Amino acid sequence: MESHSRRRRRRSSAATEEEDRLSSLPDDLLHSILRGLPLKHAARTSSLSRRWAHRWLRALAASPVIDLTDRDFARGQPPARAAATVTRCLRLHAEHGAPLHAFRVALVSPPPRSRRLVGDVVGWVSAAVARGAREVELDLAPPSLPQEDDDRGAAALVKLPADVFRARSSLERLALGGFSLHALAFPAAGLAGLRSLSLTNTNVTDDAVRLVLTTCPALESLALTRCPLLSSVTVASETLRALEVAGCRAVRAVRVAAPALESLAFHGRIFYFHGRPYGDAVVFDLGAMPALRDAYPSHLGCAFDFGVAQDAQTYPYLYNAVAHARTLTVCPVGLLLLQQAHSDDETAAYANAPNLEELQLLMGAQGSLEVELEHLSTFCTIASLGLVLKRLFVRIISPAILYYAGGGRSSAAAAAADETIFDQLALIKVVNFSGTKRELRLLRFLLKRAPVLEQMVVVVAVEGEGAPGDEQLKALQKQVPRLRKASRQARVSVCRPDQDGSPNHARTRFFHEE
Amino acid sequence: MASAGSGDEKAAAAAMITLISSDNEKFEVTEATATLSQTIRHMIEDGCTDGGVPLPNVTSKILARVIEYCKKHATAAAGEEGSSSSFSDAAFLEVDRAFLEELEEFDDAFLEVDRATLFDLILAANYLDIKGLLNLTCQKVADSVKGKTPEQIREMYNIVNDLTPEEEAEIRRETQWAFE
Repeated sequence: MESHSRRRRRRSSAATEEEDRLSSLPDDLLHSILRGLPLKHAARTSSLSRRWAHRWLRALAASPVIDLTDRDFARGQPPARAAATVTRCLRLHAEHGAPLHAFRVALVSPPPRSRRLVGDVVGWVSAAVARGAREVELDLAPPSLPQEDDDRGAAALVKLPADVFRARSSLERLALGGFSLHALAFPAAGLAGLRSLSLTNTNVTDDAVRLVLTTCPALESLALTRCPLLSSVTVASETLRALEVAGCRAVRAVRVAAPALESLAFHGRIFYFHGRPYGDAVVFDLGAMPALRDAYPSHLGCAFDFGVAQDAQTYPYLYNAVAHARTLTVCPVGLLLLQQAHSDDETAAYANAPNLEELQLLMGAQGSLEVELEHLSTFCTIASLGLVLKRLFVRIISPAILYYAGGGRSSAAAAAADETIFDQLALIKVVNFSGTKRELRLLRFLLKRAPVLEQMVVVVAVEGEGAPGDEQLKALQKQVPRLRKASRQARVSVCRPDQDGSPNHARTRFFHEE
Repeated sequence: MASAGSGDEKAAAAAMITLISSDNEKFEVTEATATLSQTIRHMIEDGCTDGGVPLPNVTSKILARVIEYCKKHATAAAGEEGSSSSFSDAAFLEVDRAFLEELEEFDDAFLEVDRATLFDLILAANYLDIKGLLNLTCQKVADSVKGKTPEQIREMYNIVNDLTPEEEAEIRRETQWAFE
């Protein structure tokens, strides 16, 4: 009674205030609004009222792009419930009749016992391909986030049937995670138009990679991630522009003949030691890559103990092959290996990095800073970096992934550390900063050696991951700009990630974070 | 309309369109401004704009705002066409960037309206088929909903929950993942 009369009074005083103009919008406008929201926030509107029930899913089903790759969608509910939503969305989409350009889903891998679920997943791939999708991405993640060096091959793979790509299709981009590809028949006409292929946690074999490359004459991008059966990867392609081989733990040889390659990333054991359990070092055979712009030879994430080098030449070989790139990402272990090779044989020849404008350094948050800075200085000397480098990006990485004790300290390297000057360096950006003494010393080291620096941006860590509190941030914002610097005009600022508008390095995906 | 004058003036006059709001107010705009609306563009192509274009769904208050938006963005569109031809040096790009920033500021200021006006603008943009304005206004509503709980959204937009408790519980179960 009471609430009723109150409502009436309000209504008479301001009728327009009481109207639900949002829900009164026609369906297609509600859908436009819902598509302007991240998936999660759109889904939250489902319980507003009858008008809104499952509206977010209908909005998705009316769009040419179905994207259900939200992390919580995959992890925050049982696979069967997520799968039911995907199936429902595809059914609504077919009823709606809109064209389907892209279909992207991330899901936790269904248990192998669940035949129906496995059948659903395979059915989605077929349906999306049959409906003319140009892009299909289906990532089935293992039930629990696996640890580095875990045997991911043990996770149950969903078997793709032989004929799924047999018919001609519009597919240009295909990304599959958690599938068994053994049954696929080649050549597969449905893959002939592929420009981009990404395989994660699949049982793809060396031979299958070769077959795929001959099947896809227009392939521009190939990514092979955590595919445990790969041992000798041979990539020969006239069209390929980007290649990634990451976390494929059995890989012992990488042969690349791809003259159009612009981007190369390798993440795994580039170098390690004889004796168990590490086996032999990876052998690289890289053809000329005159167009290479961006390289990421990374070693991080694969735990190992630094001991006595048996074959110190693998990493330097890899470095020499990519040194002419314009942007480079290196990890502390890579620098360590270069340092080691350099101090073993100071007469060895290293390529300069004549084009290197942007260097991204992944630096450990713990360990000996002296050692890391020494390695950096050696690297600068080897590559003549001081002369060309314009932008330096440093990313502080979590300590859990670094397991090496420093190598021998050579006096030559110590001297080099003092001599390093970055003649061209205009921008330094340090990301994931938490304000430790060690990190401040890194800033001092860099500021002292950059006489023409224009800007240094320090971005603190993400909230909850070692981010400084408000008080500490304020203190840093006072302290950091007062550090001694070689450049008079340099602007120095400290901010939180959401306040940062400064440019980033070309590469913002890091294998060690996956 | 002006009947006398030089050829130039005549050409300019010929490219003017009269829009008539639901409350019978007349607005003279250039064809370039008017054709940001696909609806009006089609009318012009069909040659049925003589004597003005009646817009019975749009009030003068809203039409004035819509025209303000179209004028600004028509200039922007003209600028873009110019830049794609021969100018590509850094100085020109700099000017371009400054202009885009100004446009963004304009859009932000343009959206500073009460909710009723915002919905009127959405409906007008939809009726007149002005893609840029429709995206802009829909995104404004989306942003206002983002991060809010269902209760807050209901309160904000006066949405009456007509689901039975059982239905609501079922939907909440289905979308529990979105509340993590």
